[in-house]
Amino acid sequence: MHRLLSTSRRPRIALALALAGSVPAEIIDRVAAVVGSQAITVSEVEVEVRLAAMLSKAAPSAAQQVREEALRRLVDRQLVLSDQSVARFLTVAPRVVAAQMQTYRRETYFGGRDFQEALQHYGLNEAALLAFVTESMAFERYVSLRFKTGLHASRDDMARYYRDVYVPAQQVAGQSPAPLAAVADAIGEILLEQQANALLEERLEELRSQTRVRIMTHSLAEEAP
Amino acid sequence: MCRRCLTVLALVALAATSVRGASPFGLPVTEIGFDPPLPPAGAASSERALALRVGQALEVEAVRTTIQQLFQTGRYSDIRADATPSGTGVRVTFLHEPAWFIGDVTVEGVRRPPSPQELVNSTQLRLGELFTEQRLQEGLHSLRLTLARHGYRRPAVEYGLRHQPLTQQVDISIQVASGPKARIGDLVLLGGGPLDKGEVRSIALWKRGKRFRSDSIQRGIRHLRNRLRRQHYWSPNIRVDASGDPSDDNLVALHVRIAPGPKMLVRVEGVKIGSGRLRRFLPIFTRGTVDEDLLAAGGVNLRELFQSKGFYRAQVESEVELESDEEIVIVYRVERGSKRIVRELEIEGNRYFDTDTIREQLQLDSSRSGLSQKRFTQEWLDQGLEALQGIYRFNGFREASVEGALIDSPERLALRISINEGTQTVVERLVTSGLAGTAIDAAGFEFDAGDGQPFSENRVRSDRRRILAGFYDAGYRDVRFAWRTEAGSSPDRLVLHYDVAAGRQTSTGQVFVFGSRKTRADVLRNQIELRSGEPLSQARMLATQRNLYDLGVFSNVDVAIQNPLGLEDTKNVMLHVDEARRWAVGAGGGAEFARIGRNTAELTNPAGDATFSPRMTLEISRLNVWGKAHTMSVRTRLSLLQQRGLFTYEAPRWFASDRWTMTLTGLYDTFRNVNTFRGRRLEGAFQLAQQLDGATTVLYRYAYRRTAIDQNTLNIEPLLVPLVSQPARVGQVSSTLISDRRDDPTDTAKGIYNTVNVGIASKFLGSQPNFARLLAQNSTYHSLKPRVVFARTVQLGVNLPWAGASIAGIEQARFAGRPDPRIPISERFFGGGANSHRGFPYNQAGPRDPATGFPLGGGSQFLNSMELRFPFPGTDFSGVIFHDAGNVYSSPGRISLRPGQKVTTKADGTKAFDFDYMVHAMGFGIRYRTPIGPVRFDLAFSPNPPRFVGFDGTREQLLSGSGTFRQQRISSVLFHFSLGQTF
Repeated sequence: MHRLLSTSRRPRIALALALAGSVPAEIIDRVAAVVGSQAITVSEVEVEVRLAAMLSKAAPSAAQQVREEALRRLVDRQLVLSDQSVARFLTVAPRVVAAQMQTYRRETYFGGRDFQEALQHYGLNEAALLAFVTESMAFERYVSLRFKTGLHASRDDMARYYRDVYVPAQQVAGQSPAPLAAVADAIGEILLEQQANALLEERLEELRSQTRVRIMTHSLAEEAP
Repeated sequence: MCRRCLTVLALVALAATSVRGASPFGLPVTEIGFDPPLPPAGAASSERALALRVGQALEVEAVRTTIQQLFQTGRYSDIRADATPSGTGVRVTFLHEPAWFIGDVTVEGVRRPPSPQELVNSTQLRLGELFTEQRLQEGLHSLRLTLARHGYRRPAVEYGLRHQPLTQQVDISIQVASGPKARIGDLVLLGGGPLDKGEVRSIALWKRGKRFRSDSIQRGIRHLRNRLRRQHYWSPNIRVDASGDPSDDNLVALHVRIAPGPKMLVRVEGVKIGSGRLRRFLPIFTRGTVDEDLLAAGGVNLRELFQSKGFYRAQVESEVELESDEEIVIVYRVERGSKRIVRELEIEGNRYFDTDTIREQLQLDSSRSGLSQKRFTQEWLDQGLEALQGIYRFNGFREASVEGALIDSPERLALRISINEGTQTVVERLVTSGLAGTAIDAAGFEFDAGDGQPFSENRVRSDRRRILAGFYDAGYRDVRFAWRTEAGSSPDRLVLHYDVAAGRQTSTGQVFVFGSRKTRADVLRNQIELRSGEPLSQARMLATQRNLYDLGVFSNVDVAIQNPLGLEDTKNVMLHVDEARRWAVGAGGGAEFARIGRNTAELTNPAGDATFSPRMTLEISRLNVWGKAHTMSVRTRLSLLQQRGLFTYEAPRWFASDRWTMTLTGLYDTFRNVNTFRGRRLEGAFQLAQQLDGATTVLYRYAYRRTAIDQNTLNIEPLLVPLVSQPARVGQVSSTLISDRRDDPTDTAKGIYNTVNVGIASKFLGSQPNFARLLAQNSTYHSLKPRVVFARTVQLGVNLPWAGASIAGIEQARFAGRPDPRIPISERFFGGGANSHRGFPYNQAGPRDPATGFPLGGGSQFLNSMELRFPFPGTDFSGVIFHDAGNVYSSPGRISLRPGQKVTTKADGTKAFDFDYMVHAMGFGIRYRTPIGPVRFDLAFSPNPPRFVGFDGTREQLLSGSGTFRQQRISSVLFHFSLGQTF
């Protein structure tokens, strides 16, 4: 460019660049939510949206609703992690996380190349995925230790679920329902999961009322970094 | 538009487009800034939170981490990162909104009560914590509730905020227009119950039109509950709802709901026991509810009661005989068994602890061998066994077992304590990590579970507590402590490990002091023990608070960490003070009743008559004089015996040290508390007090006084008048050492109290007489049993005149027209009375005028007192047996222990009495315990009170030589009434 412009024109170019420099600065990141003293940034929401898309093998979405849901998930996860840290539940060992990553890499994407391509496609890196898997496993452990211990699904509950949910669902699907004895274990798992989820939701409500949570959804409407 | 202009605009548009279109990530960071600029209060911690570095490529993770870390400091309520092209790189600006922290909170406009501080506290807006609009609204709501409780039902509350950007502090000023207090209006009785509306209003004292206050509502509920309990409703539920809006005439309706619950009747079978006692022993009455635990606890209490009376096998069972909505009937069945006192105690198996130590743990008197009467109860035994188990465990006997059993045979009833100590586990070696370089690592620190010490978890807990306290004090707020053991060289030895992870150290940032209006900044600064950059110490924060309170000029001192939840390495400390009112006025009245002199012209009774003297006092104090935390006060006291005005100026923390206090005093005093004369004293004094330690104080004092005796009131032989009663100026330096190791100065149970006062009055100090003075006291207190105290004191005082006090010197001074060099009467020792020798009326001890018998004072005094103080169980009364011995003597060389008074008969047949002998007095007293110390009555009997020659007649008759001389004596029986113990 220097070669194309004469010396007499240089002040004009400088002025032009100076004026160009005065255009509004670009927002590269900002706070999207506050949980206690922890901030969740818009860039984290973006990563969460992409991770969710990659794990479900869906196309990444920039829809406001999708981003708000991702933000709510991050808020809940932060609440749980804070609770976990206060209650000093066991954290997940790095080797267990690494094994999970390996499984994911091998079984979901059939080898390293597909996996790397998927990461690139979704604009992610392995570190972000590793952090996500670590937090997800910690979350699972928290739910398991805190809520699943001591839960029990009675025979009556299983029979009720079999009668009210399983059999009608099979009939709608045009399949003949298996006998209760054959699906009792699976139904028991589902019932325990439901009970744990109800307890988790109860605990989250409690945590939300105890912790200063501020969600700034308007920040998501602005341009993503 | 010109071509050149179009070119420029085109270039601008092109440049702008290129900047907007290209991602800034990957470009080098040329500059990092904050908009607005960082406030000084949090600049350091914010700069440390930056994960971005100038020169490095801009990365999204670094920006995110920076935002998160900045946010974690707690100093921001919103952050946004902007990137702006800058040369070949990018300038990153963090646009932020600061967080605000609660500063000064004031509530004004409400008449006391409630006090402004109570209202501020009710807002729950705590100093230094994060300010949010939500917290403010919650605080205002709480404030309204508090005002409503105090009867202000229609307050108008407004507030103003003052932001202080330099400290990120927001001051909240709340203005309340409280309006008039509401009054009690209609009473609506909801639900049934044994009381009608009129009874409720009458019992609860909720009269219509009475001022509404929450405490009167609570008091009324208490009255109602007590009434219902008297009717056997022991668990009434009484609710009063007064939340409705007041009527136009400001009356509040009370909606009262009374659920009396079932009647609760208790019957005891097997023994007779009074209902009052039953209520004391059964917790179902005090708690007002029935459950299995409370029933059982009542049974245990009853069993204890009977066992303590000697029914050592007493058994108690409880049963709910009837339970309905209307009535509960409970039966306690008591089987007392035979009465037999467990007197004998056997202790076996103890090797590590001696028997005395075991007895101590069982709360038994070590001077005896068996059990005291009424000692044995199952509860006592269980507690004693637990204590023994604990002491063995603490000393490393981890398997120790202790059992107690009664040996019950017709021949013998004894308690046997069997101890199986097991082996003692000892710490072979204590290995610590994480303590290097700390105070705990220093040689002086002794671990409870150190090398060679017995091992127990309690010892580890004790070490843990001390270690953590040390780290907290050094600013390590996240310190973690872990311990573990390894096998040692033998089964009874182990290696103990203490692992300490200190975590991050928090240091003190800035100290913000506010709330002070008059107090000088340097006065405040001198009290602050926190220094910027030093570890943030909780102990120093508390010490600072204590120092400020000790100044005596603040009614409230708050110390808090600003932004307590934020993750900052440096924490600012906020100090908020409320200055107390600077003027204090106090007035009081009282009276003295004792055998006190009259100082009239009548000389007939030199021992004094019982006199009643009303008294008025007025005190005006000015605190925080010149903002220096000094106090100036004027105290006046007016009575028939004394008119006194005392001016005091007190400067604590003299020499900028909390150990020194300077006091200036000016005194004008007219007195006639000595029967012999009425005097007037003017005195100025300068005193420095030095606190050597918690118990020892030294006073350094210079006093200059002029004492004049009213010649017309001098009730002594006229010849003595010019010699001992002329006006005297005394300039004296003195020093007093006070060592006070008493547990309670007003009613001491144990300890030692010593004072030594040495003074010199000399012409070089402006004094007319030259003399030295020594006054010493030694008191000790011995607790023999709970509330049984043996107390003793000995006092010795001597005046030593020199330079001209000899007969020759006196004559020389007289001929030269100089003042009499002898010690004037006002400087002599006087003694006797409630706080001195109780064998004398007030100030009646010592030498007397040979003509009139009035006390002349002495050159020395000696007093030895002994008291046995004992309680009257179950009351606030206690008794005293005492013995006082001593006197005021004419000179130090005349101090005598001789009990008899020498009497010599002169040639003319008149008798001369010697007063230099030891007067004894013994007697008893009653004390009644009050919050300000015991009220005291003593009755003393003296077997050898002094006899003396007195004069029947007036002063005029004495001067004219008429009237008669008559032998008199101090009464053998005297009473004293006073406040506080004698010594």
